[in-house]
This record gives sequence, C-alpha cells and structure tokens, in this order.
Amino acid sequence: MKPGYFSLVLHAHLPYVRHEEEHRLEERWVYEAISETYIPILWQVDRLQRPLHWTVSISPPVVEMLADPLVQDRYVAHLDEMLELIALELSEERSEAEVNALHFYERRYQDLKNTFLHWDKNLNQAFRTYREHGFIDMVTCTATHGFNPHLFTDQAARAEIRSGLNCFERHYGFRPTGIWLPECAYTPGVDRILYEEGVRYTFVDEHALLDADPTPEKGIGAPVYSPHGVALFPRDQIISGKIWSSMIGYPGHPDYREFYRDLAYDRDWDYIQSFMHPEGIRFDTGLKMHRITGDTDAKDYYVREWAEHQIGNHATDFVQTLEAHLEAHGGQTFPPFLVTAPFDAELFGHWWFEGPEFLGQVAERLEQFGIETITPALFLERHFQDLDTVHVSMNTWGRKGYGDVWINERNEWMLRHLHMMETQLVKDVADYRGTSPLVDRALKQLIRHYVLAVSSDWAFILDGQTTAQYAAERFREHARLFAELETALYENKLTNELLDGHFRAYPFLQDGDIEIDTFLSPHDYYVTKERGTEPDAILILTPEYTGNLVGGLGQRVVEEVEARANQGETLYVLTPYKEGLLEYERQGNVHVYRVRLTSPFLEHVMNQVAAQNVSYVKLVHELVNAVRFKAVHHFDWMTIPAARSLAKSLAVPLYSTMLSFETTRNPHGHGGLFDAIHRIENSVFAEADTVYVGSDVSIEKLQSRYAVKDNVTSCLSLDASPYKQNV
Amino acid sequence: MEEKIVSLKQQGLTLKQIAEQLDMPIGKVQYAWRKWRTQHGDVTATAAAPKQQAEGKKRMKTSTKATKSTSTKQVASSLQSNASHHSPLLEQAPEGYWKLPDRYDADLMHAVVQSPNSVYVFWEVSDAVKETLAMQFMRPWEDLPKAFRILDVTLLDYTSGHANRSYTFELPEMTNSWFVRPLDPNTTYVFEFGIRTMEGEFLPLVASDPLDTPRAEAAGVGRFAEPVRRWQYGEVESPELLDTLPKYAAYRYVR
Repeated sequence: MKPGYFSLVLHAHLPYVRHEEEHRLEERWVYEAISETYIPILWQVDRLQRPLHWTVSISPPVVEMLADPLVQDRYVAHLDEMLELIALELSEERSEAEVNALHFYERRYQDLKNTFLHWDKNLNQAFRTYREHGFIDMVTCTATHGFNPHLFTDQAARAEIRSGLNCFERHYGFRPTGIWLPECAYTPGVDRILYEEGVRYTFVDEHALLDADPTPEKGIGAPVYSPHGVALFPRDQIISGKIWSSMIGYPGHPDYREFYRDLAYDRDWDYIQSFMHPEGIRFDTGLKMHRITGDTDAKDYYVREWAEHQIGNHATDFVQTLEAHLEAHGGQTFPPFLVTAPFDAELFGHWWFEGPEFLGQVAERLEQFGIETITPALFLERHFQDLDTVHVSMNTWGRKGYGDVWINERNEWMLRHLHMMETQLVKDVADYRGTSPLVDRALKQLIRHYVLAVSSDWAFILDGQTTAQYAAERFREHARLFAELETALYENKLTNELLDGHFRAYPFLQDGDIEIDTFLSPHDYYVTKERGTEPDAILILTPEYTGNLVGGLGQRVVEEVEARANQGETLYVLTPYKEGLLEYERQGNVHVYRVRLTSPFLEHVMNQVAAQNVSYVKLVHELVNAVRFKAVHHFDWMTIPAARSLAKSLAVPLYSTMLSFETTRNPHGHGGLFDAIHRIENSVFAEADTVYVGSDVSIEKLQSRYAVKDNVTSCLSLDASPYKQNV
Repeated sequence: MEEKIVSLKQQGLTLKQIAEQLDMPIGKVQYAWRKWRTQHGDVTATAAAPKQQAEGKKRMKTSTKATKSTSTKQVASSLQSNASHHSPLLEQAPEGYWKLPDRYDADLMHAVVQSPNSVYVFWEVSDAVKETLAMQFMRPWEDLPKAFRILDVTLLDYTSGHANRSYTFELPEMTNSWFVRPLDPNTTYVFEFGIRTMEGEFLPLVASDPLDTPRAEAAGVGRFAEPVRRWQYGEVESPELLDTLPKYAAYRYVR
C-alpha cells in the first residue's frame, strides 16, 4: 500500500418535483437521473461486488421520489415508451452508425428496466442492500436542501437537518453520522446544530480550510474540526477538477457522448410527436446519438467502443495523477494525507454519460496501484485524534465560493418571506403545540410547506434562468399554502379534509419525520406554559424611574406606580436604559424595562428622544403578543409620541401626567427646540383621556399657550386612581 | 357616557363617527365599546368567537391560551388582536388572488452574507414606528429622508456605542433591501436603516445583528484562533464566536 488515502463522495439530489397531474416536464428530471446516473452507478457497485469505500449521499427528496409508487409506475411507462421509440427507429432506414448506437440504447434500456423491476421499482432498496453488504457507505442531506447560510433561526436549520435524518432513517434503517450540507455551504453555528443532532462529519470546499483561522497545519491534506467538533472534509480541487472541469476535465473528450444533441431535435415533428409532450412541446428523449466530435456543430455518431476505450485511458490517467499527488504529500503523517473528492452524483451519467463506468474502472485501478480508499467515517475512526480545530467562515462550493448563486438580484425577493415563515413557525409552535391532534397535524403541515419553500433549488434555478418560471411558481405556491393553512389555524377552521388536501399536493415526508418541537424555544415554553396569566396591565412610559431620579417627576412616577401596584394593578414601566442598572426587573406586579435607544450614537437631544420613543413602540410590539394592556399612562413630554401612537394602536385610553411644561419651565423660551417641544406637548391634549398637570401649573395660563380642552386637571392624591372606572 | 356610546353604536354609527359626534378621543370610544361588549357577552361580536366556544375548541387549550384568545377576539385594535388576525403572508392582489406581501408590518432587519465583499440586507418598519416618528417630527413618514449606515464593529461591542468606522448614505424612498458592497472580508459589521433628521443626524430605526464577512485569504493565526482554543479547551462557558443561526424566541422580551 502507498501512503495516503482517497475518498470518493457522490451526492444525489433533485428538488421534489413529484406532481399528481401527468406530463409535468420537471418529472423527467427524475427519469433522466434514474436512467443515466442512479442505475448506472448501481450497476458498477453490482459489477465490482466488494467494498469500494464510496460514500453515497441521497437527499430526502430523491429518497421520497424513488419510494413513490406514482413516480415508479410512471418511470416504467417512460422506459416502455423509450423502448417503443427505439424499436420505431430501428424499423426505419437508418445508417449503420445510427443502428449501432440504437442497438446500444436498446440493450441499455432493457437493462434499465430489468434492474428497476429487480428492485421492485424502489431503488432505495438497491442502495440499502449494497450498503448493508458493506460495498458503499451512505449519508443523506437536509430535508429539502435549504441553503443554511441564509436561514435565520436555529430552529429552521434544525428542522431541515432533523427531518432529513428522520426521513432517511425511515427508508434506510439507520441514522448516518455524516451529512451532506446543501451546496457544501457552511456557516458558523450550523456545526453546533449538526453536532447536537448527532452529525459528526460533513463536506466543504477547499477554501474553507485554506482560509480557516488558524490555518490548519495540514492544509487540505486532512479534515479539521469546526469549533463545535464536526469534522469538515475538504474538496481537493486539483483532483476533482480533473473530472468536473469543462476546461481541463475528462468529460469533454471528442469520443464521449454529446449532451446537447438529442434525437428529438433531429426528427420531423409528425414523426416524433407521439413521444413528445401532449401540448406540443419538444423535449429531450434521452437518445443522444452523437459524440462530442470536437469544437464543431457537425457532430458524428456515437461509437460506444471508442467511448469505452477512452474510459479506460482516463481511469488510468486519473489514478496516475492521484498517485503522484499522494506521493508528493507522502511525508504527511498523523494523519496520512487524504484526498477527498465530493461530487454531484448527477455529474456522472447525466452530464458525463460515461461517468459511472469511469468510476467503476477507477475503483479497479486504485486496487492495482495500491492506493487505499477510505470513507470519512472510517477515517475518523482511525485518525480522530490527529485533527486541528479551527474557525471556518461562511463559504460554499458555488460560483466564486460563497453565496453569489443563492442570493442575487434574481432571487433575493424570496428571503423576506422565508424569514417570516421561520419566525411565524416559532410563534405558532409556541402558541398552539399540543392543543389537539388536528392542530399538531397542521403545525407539521406548516413545517412541510416551509421546508418545501426553502429548497436551495428555487434560488439556484432562478439564478440560472433556465426554468425560472417553474421555480418562482413553486416558491409562491408553497408560500400561499403556508399562508392559507396558517390562517385556517388562526381562524379555527382546520379539518382533516383540509389537511389531507394540503398533504396530497406535495406528499413529501411523513408526519413522523417532522418534529414540531424543533421549532420550540425554551423561553417560549416558559412564557406560554409556565408564566401564568396576568390581569390587563397599565403601560407606563416615563423618562425617570428608580435608579434614575432627576427631580420631582421621577419621584411622582415611583409613588404613583407603588400606589397603583398596592391597589392590585399590574404595571409595565418603560424607562430609558441606564448603565449599571438591570435592563429588566420585576417588583411584585410591576415589570420594569429599561429600554436602550435604537442607537447609542445619537448626539442631538430631540433625536435621542425620538430614538427612545421608537424603542418603546418596538418593545410594546413584542410585549403585546403575551401581555394585554388596558391603558397607556405617560409622564412628561419626552414620552408623548410613543404614548399617542401606542394608545391608538392598542385601542386603549391615554392618560397623561405633565408636572411642568416647556412654557412654564422656560416662559421666555423661543427657537427650534423650544418650538418642537411645545408642539409635541400641545399634541397630547386632543388625544388624552385626562391630562394631569402639576399642582403649581395654572390651567388658565396653560390655555393661553396650548389648545387645552376640558380634560385637564391637577394631579390627584396618590391614593386616588387616575384611571377611569372602566379601565 | 358609556351608554351613549353603546346607543350610538347600536344605531349603526362607526366608532370614528361616535368619537367625532361626542368630541372624544377614538381610543376612549373603542375601549368603552369593547368593555361593554365583553361585559355583556355580546354575541354579535366577531362571528368566530362564539362558534369556537360552541365547538369546544377552547376547552382543549390550556387556560392561558383560552383566556388570552377569548378576550382578544373582541378588540378592534390592530396590535392587540389575534382574532381577525390572519397569516402575515396572506395578502390579496386587487383582482382577489393571493399574492406575496409587498411588506410586513414589523420592525426587523436581517443581513446575510453574499460574499467576503458583499452582504444582502432587508428590513421592515412598522406602521406604529412610522406614526411615532411622524408625531415626533411633525412630518409624514414619506417626507423623512431615509438613510443607511454601515458600522464596522470588529472586536467591539456594538451596544457600547463604539465602532471602528462607519459610513452613512442616503437611500431612495420605498427601499426595503440593499446589496451592501464593497465591504471588507473578515470584518464584523452591523447595518442600520433609519432617517436623516433635520440636524443631519442619522437616526436608526432597525439594526441587524452583528455579522462576520468571510475571510478571503489565509488567516495564519488570526483573531479567531484564541477564542476557538478557549472554547475547545473548555476555558469559557460559551463560545466567543458569532453564531449565524441563533435560537429564536417569539416571546423573547416577555419575562
């Protein structure tokens, strides 16, 4: 054996494109992947019949579609149609070169059908069997391939990961310790969730390690641990580039099959029509009769023997390159040098038709060359003690290495709605979980709609603009279904029939795969289950309070709050944050929030006041989800804008206490600030139920400066409630 | 006064008309009407409330929930109502079809990384905040100039009021998202949306959480090496690293 290891990883993924209605073009993506990639890869595993140390990742949408009887039966019908077309072609006068290619396809489609039927039409059984024989290892992906760096909450990422693992376990009978992160996209924090969900390794692109902090000692010659202890296996670009690169890679060889030339476009419409879409749309049949030939539009026919010859050459070249690469790093120990080569599985067969045979031959050459293959799981078993722990920043294997594909001017519009769905799910789960079996079923269905909407495929397709309309429509459809079902939940209009309809639209994941509590936060559990109920509360807005008393006003507020509390009222006091004091404290039935400004950087007084008011309004927005207010009582002019706005939006009476006024404090005042304060003060009279003024304020004098109405009175004694009976 | 309001309401006047007729603040009228209906168990209150009770759904819920939603059913307020309340994603186009909402009535700002040099930011400002500002500055929201600020808070605590540097620029009206670029790699940023006040000062309304742009070159031993080591060896109780997927709580400010 030579020093070092090689690890091949294949990730099979398609978006969930199962539609009840027939003749959806997107369904053909599944047929193509089965015919060109999944079965041909299985053929290689079956041919070699020994441990290959390939790691095959199958995403939950693929697993679910492979297991779906509707998809299975339609695929068989598709194969029959293909065989019919081949028979028709062979009955025509075709050239010898064409006939040879057609005979190749005839055998191939017959083999595809035999294999498919051998596994009872469910290829999950095939992968599972080979995995249980020890020929391959398997992992899965998050539920719908959601792009983790653009998720907003722990809960959404966790739901994607856990329901993906649950789905896979249901079909494959075990829970993998590795996972494929969609688009190899890593973001700080996803490793924490992965670790908590039992995942110990995943895959990243090589710059994740090259730019890690600190720089790993072995570069990309070994995996690293993320801060939370998940092993990250880096893609070796030099080695994998030999295969995937359109510039330097093998798939562009002139003898290989041409992807962009299909029989459908070489035949008259009348002839081919019965094999095309009933609405007259021409699409690829999958019978691609030509070889790449060269940089020309005049393509020659495909000669299978020539292609097979090249497969052998390329397999040898690849393994020689790999051997030289390993030898160049042969001095590395603890751990030995590891080359990880992760690929989209569909590259092999779908994009590079001869790819699966290439992989099979590479496996044989590796044995002949004495190069040891290994799975990440086995590597970790042997070398878990030898890995560095580093910080890895956000990165992906996509264009330019970061998020450009999944967030740009073509697809950014989706993110706002996805984030709203995430936070709504957190709130709905907190509010409704466990209410009834029907409600729990609805919550699971809401999660299902969300995960279907968050699939990275929609953003990816919108970026590429190939079938953009389909992607945009799918996203909108899931968002609409989410909105409608959530509304039915709020309006108490749930029925089993309604939920059946929602599920039938996209029967992805069983309810058992989806765990409502992935969206629950411990704090929300406390608030909704343990905190208990409070009577309707009075909202107090005051510039001064305990710990921050400047003059008589603060003293008055403290005394009034105490008096009302002693009379059994529940009060929420909102007052400015002050360094050294708690942001929140509770004294009996008095909740005190010391509220930070929206910005610590403001200099101008009026802007600080405005920022404080905005902060109050934002906080009350959050509180009203759990607290009911029956009145707003503000003190001093500085709190007037928030008090007016809140009394209006809460639809409760407004009480005002003004111990002094700008015009009484400053009788000869003038100028911009004076005028602004005067206008704000003046605005309270029209909207307050009662304005209580300081005992030394002459109401008569006030009338000369303000639009005073008959709702102004001097402050009451402390034991008298300033609030009207009906409050 | 309450009787008067009830009597006018039963004559079919709107709450706004009653407020005008009685020269009373609308909030007071709304509150009195709501109070009366609650006390009298008015069955003409929203159709959903009595129906729900008849179906016995409320009994299946916890008492907390039942109290909360029974009383909220009857509020004519946008903020304190869960009742007439539908999914925030439910919106109808003028033709009656569902459409994605153009905006949400909320205050938030989210930033996600596009690349080491660019970040996508989107935000929402609620009606109540807009109205508060209008009351504060005596100018309608549309007339207040909008602006955006980038703060570099690398190795600093944003809430302490310190930043390494900042850059503010004007935004067109009706803007609710921005690709912020060019930015520096390996830098911690906070983004803010707000208004430019009369004095020319930037007044932020919503801010993003701090966000690290990715590194774009080998780090050597950089600013993360020590925090990673401390966390790895258990010298700190929680990692001193930004987490882009924090646990979210719907009731995070309710204590």
